[in-house]
Amino acid sequence: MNAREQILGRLKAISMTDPISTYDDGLKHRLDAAWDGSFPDESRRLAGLFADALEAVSGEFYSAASVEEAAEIVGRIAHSSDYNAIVVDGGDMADNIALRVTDTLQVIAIPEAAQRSEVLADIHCSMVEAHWGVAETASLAFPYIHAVSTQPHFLAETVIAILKRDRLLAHLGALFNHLSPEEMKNLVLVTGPSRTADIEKILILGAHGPKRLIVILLD
Amino acid sequence: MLKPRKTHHYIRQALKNDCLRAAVGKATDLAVRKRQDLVNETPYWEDLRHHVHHLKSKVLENPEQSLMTFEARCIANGINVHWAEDAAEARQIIVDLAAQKKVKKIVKSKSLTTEEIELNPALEKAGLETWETDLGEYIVQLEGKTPSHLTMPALHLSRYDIGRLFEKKLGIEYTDNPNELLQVARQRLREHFLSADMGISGVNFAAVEEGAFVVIENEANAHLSISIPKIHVAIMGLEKLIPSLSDLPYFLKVLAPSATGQKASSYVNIIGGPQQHLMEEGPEEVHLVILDNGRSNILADASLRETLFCIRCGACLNICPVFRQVGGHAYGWAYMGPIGATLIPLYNGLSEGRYAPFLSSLCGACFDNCPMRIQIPKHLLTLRNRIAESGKTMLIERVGMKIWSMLAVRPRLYRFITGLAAIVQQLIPFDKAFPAPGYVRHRALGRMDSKGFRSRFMDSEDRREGGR
Repeated sequence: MNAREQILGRLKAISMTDPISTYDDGLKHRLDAAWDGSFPDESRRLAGLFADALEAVSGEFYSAASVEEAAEIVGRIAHSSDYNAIVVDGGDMADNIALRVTDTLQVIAIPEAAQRSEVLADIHCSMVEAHWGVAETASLAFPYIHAVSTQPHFLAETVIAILKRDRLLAHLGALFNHLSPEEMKNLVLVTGPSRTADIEKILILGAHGPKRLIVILLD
Repeated sequence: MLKPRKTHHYIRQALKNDCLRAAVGKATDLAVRKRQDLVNETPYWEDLRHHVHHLKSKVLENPEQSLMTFEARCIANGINVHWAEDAAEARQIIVDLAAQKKVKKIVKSKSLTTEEIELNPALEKAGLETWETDLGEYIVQLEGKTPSHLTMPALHLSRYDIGRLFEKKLGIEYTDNPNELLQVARQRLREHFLSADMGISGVNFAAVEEGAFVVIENEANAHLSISIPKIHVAIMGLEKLIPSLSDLPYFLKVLAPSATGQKASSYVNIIGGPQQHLMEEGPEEVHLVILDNGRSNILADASLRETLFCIRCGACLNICPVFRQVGGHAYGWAYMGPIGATLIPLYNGLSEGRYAPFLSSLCGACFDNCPMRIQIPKHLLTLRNRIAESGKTMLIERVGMKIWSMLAVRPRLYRFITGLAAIVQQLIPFDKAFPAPGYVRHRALGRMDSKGFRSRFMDSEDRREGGR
């Protein structure tokens, strides 16, 4: 008998008939209502919550009324950090913004798979497109089925994420209600820049991933 | 696993080490404060705790069915599933896989299950260059020790210790600036991420319905470990199941505040198969090792199975007055603190783990802080009883308890003996207590001729009677 059969055989013999905890069936309903109820419906207020939550995790927030304004913000960020190149993850909006910054920045498309990691490891700034945003935690959702690569999200020192305002949801529960089964099972959720507090609990940004995460909320 | 007789030695060392206690105190104070702030912001926190407890009970109610469904869905998603009875078999599966795939270099993200099975020594013995990539784990790997906390592996080291360690092991100029130390680690490990053939991770949650698993982190090292190398091997205890990914938000909502005092962890990676077909990057193969290593026996134990609900957040460690004094190494295994004190005898046997359940004051703070509502004090008492019943206690303790229980059921004899002890006590000069070596090192032994509980109780009863 192999390990699988042995383990499952033991588990079959011990399948529980007595529930461990007593559970009030109305609890989930109450819980969901309380979680939902603590958020406003109005998108502008959600944006404010998102901005606050992002700043609390050392992220930076911008709001742009148009693609042109977003491009101007990207240009300003690049200029202030002396970046002369930006990698774009292939999302339509990010590509659109990138088209408008080509006079000041070298725009680099996702490299071929074979050289991707090596090339991206030397790039300081990337622009990526988030599929959903979560106001409560300032999380960004990147389902892999909509992505060309996740490496720009992780290897660059500064990541600029573009999020459409109508893609902003209240909380994590709402996010998972919106994701399709295919989207949710291959996904990365990003909340703020990479961080560590492993040395005397002193918070340092940019542990192995980006030091800066900038979100531009686009109308 | 630390030999039981060494436990006392480690505890004594820890109690003498003021630097360790200060470091543990500082870190755990901060974690407790940040967690409490977030709990206060969440009026439905108690409902959340009840709900995640229920979800875990539900999925483990029929563990065989849940695991078979999970396995079938994983296979349908292109994940190779392996089963391991024990630590040795799990190690062998991974070593064999590495040999078969001609792996030379491995990057690892933080995983307590790999600590439990002592994977790193096996990989090194097989000639595989293995790098821990979580900063804290990297530090303890360089130190040649094991983590001292579930979520803060290098908690026992100060920045000065780490500076000296990096100077010695990495040949850099001494610095105790945390940011500079991180930059050194980041630069070294970035090279390893880019050149590794295999990435190994643990699993925080495994979703039955979707056949997908979740790896949670803050540094981005886990994502780099599992998305750049061509092979990803994940190892999970069979209790990591949750019913569905749609239940994941509830677990995420309780995990991050409890683990690191954050509202949300920085990165939540959900893996439902090799990503190559989706993005032309990421692993070509995903292997998942499902580990038993005693878990099925714990599930069979109706009074203790709840200990497997643990999500390894470390909240019970941070609040525990014993852990805060002795730190993690005193427990002698991969799991420590109150939850470790229950898991150590359960995984290693009552004999090997006989001291662990006694490393608790039973104050109950661990239960109050546990996001999963695991009744840790109750489980510690159950284990203490079993250890006492199995005769795995010290001879002096057994004899002492026997004498006491004999006296306790004979009140007259009890009064006579204690009265006699009080008279003898008066013969000891300078008002000293009875000599009790060991016992009085860290606490006081009351005088036998002082007013004891019985006479105080009788006095108070008399006062109440008189007041009526």
